[in-house]
Amino acid sequence: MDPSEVKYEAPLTKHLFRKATSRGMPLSGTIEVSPVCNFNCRMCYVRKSPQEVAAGERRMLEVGDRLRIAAQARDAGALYMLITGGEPFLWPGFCILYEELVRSGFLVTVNTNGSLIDKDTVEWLKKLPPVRLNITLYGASDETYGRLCRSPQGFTKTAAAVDMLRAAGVPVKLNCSLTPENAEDLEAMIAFAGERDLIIEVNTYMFPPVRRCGSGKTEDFERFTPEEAAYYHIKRYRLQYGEERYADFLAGLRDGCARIEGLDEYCTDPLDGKVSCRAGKAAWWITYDGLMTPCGMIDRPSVDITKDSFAACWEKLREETDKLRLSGVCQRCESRSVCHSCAAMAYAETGTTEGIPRYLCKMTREMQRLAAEYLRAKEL
Amino acid sequence: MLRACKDVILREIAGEYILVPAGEAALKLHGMITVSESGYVIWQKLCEGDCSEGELVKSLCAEYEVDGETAAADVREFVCRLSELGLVSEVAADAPCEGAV
Repeated sequence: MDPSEVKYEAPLTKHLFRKATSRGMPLSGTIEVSPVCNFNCRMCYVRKSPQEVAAGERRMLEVGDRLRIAAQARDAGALYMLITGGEPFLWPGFCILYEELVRSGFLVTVNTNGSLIDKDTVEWLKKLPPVRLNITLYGASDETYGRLCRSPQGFTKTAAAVDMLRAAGVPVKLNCSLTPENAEDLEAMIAFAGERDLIIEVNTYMFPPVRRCGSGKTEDFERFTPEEAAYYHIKRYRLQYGEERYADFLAGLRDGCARIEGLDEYCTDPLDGKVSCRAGKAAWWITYDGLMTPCGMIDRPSVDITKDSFAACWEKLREETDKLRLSGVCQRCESRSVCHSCAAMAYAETGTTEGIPRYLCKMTREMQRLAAEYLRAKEL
Repeated sequence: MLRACKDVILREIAGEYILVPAGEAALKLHGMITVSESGYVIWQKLCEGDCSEGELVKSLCAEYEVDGETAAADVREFVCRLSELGLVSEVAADAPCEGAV
């Protein structure tokens, strides 16, 4: 597997994003259809039960609301659309929304856990295929799925769906969120992807669940220590790409010039104190209850899309995003080109985009230490 | 006669004309393609209904100040490229429309 495949963007896509960013066009959107999920993952940033949704202050958007939003987004120049959840295939309006988005000329990607995709769903997807299904792989056994996702047959179902989709020619990418609960399956998950010739993107950094618990609250949240996240980040690279590339990767980390791939496929490292990824510049996110935000990992700035048109909300969001500032310490940090911190991470970790996300500092330092140690032992 | 694949949608995004596959065409195309302004005119004409290469040349000449020979070469190249991608096909003059009962 080639590392560049994980974040590959066609030249035309890059070209469109450059134009959209300079023009302030909402080229890429995410519609979060529901926070409800048949899994109950320990590290999830959004999951809610149907009862919690019903008791919420804001109502969940209906299919009609989303169709209206999509039509207005299309008129404003949106092309790329990600449908996410919760679990999208669990939401009753999913098929209607998906078909309408594809038929009206959006390039649609769907984030799913894959466990609800059966033979009939595959046949339906074959007729109206997405650009890609991003299936999250949580482990390589039902035991791990039971422990992490509280879904004791989750792996069997997900693996069956992956194989059916592949046989039907529907494009699939695997995403893996690595945590203490599934770390021992890392090698087996990478092998699972390799045997099927699928791209797998492994992330060892988990955002604190701002939207469930509030920003800056990282206690009682099950994730790796920064040192463990660093260790597994490096380990997964070795397992995925082999010894030769691994040594190059470590040399880049040690020398402070390795580009760590971001956690969102549209993110790039900030350079000038402002948010410089595409969030709020060419990309937007609509939460299940109708708030437009720059990115799903944070809860503000946000604009209520139930109160105004898509175009008006987008303009407001752009203005608000432009006001966000990042830490000056981060901007001047010598590990800037190795660390992958962004505005959303700073906000989630500290409660403000201007805060210093110490977890990421520690993770970066540990990656550099491990890299230097390995290279020294190998006399490289 | 030439027929455009019904599963493709023409969109203008940030000043670019783009053909977006929507349906089984996506399994072959894997993404989208850009077309030039003349390609845009040709595709629009094809979307109005089946037509011959000659009719496409005529519509191109009507839209732009271009001689017939140049327009014919443009049409040929465009049709060839899109045929390779399965987005344009040759049909008999009296072939029923796709989806017709």
